[in-house]
Amino acid sequence: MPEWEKEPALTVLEWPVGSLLGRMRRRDRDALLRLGVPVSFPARQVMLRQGDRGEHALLLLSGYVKVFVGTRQGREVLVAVRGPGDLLGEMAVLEDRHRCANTVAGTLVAARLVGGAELREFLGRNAEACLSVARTVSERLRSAEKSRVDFVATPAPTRVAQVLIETAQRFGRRTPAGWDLGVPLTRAEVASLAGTALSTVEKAFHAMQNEGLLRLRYRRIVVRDLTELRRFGENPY
Amino acid sequence: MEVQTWSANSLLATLPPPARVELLRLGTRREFLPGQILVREGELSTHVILLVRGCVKVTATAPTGGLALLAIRVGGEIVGELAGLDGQPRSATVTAAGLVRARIMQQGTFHDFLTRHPQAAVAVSRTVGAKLRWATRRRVDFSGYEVPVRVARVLAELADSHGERTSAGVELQVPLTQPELAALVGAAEPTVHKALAGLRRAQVIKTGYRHMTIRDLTRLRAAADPDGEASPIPS
Repeated sequence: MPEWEKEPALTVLEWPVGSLLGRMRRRDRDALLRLGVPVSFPARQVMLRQGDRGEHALLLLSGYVKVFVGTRQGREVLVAVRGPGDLLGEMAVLEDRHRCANTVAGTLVAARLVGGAELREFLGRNAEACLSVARTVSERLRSAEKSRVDFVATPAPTRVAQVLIETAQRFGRRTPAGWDLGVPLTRAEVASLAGTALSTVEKAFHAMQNEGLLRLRYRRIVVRDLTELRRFGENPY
Repeated sequence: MEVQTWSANSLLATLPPPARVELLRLGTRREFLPGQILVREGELSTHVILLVRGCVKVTATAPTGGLALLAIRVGGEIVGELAGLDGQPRSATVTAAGLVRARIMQQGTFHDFLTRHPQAAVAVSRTVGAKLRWATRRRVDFSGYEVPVRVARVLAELADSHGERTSAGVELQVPLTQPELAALVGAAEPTVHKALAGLRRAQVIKTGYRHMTIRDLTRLRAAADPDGEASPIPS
């Protein structure tokens, strides 16, 4: 059984630095972790559905989640990957609007389901916690805007390399073979994240494999050396 | 107070009145002339700017030198709050697109204000979330739609957020050049030019020098949504 499908550890003492829980003061974090009820989702289950009212949010404790936006042509564009310590679905709760994306479990996921009213009440009397939420949303905005700039100005193979590097840095694990991305991503999903065609990803992966930068197993991507891959990204082919 | 100059979904419009009154008194008052830069990309400053009146453009440069227009912000909105919140270098350059009246707040002042008014902190999270939705939509449009559809989608959204109804239709309150519109859509200028010409010929829009009126919003929306009704637009 691959690492990411094993039973998640429910007591994580250190949350990833960029995640909401990783940014919060201990007191706020403990208070937030007491809200809601525990839930779990098997891999590939839809956790939040685009178009639904924002009636609750999910606080991710373990596992990885993919955020897709569906277009009307029925295409699903992967726009982000979220991991342990991240809050999901809070934007629709705060703005009291329809959800703007589908959230799908990429692995077995453990989370806490927090009702909208409970979350609004908590943030409404806890400004410091609310600022932590604002900071994580800021971070996502920075990243979304960076993608937009890159889409216009950066060559597609470079964007493919960047997606791999950023995913490895956020969620990856060091293994003897290199950096395991930690999140099972298909090539089509990498194409979505990089804003390019599947054929471009296939070509880039092929070139990276030829140079020994990448190892691919079933839905598993291992980057041999991040620095080397970065160099490849600067001067693709 | 000039309530009428605040855009409907802006921070000022959504704040509880006591917080709004206090926010309008914070920091120092400043005016910016057209073309003047309020915040520069990469800078390490952390002050936050409340736009009281006027309109600004938010642009970012790619490492290769290309320029992307990320957003337009108008009176009632804040800019520079990302660095104000997280202390990271400025992600974009903000330039006055006309005479701008603003209030400049230091990071500490902004932070204290939000701590005193948790509801304002929620409102700020909400506006950052709204900006993220817009950015995500542009990113998805980029992968999912052809340029003419993307042009129509951007114009329809600008009409909703920054349009004013006149006898001739909905007038965009933001002076946009075609290169800027191309940068906003993320497409080459000639392609955007062609899309605009199509809309003009169909009498959906009317354009003048840095000036645009949506003559037929219903048909613009139809052009923005080639497959019709279906599921609700994520907005």
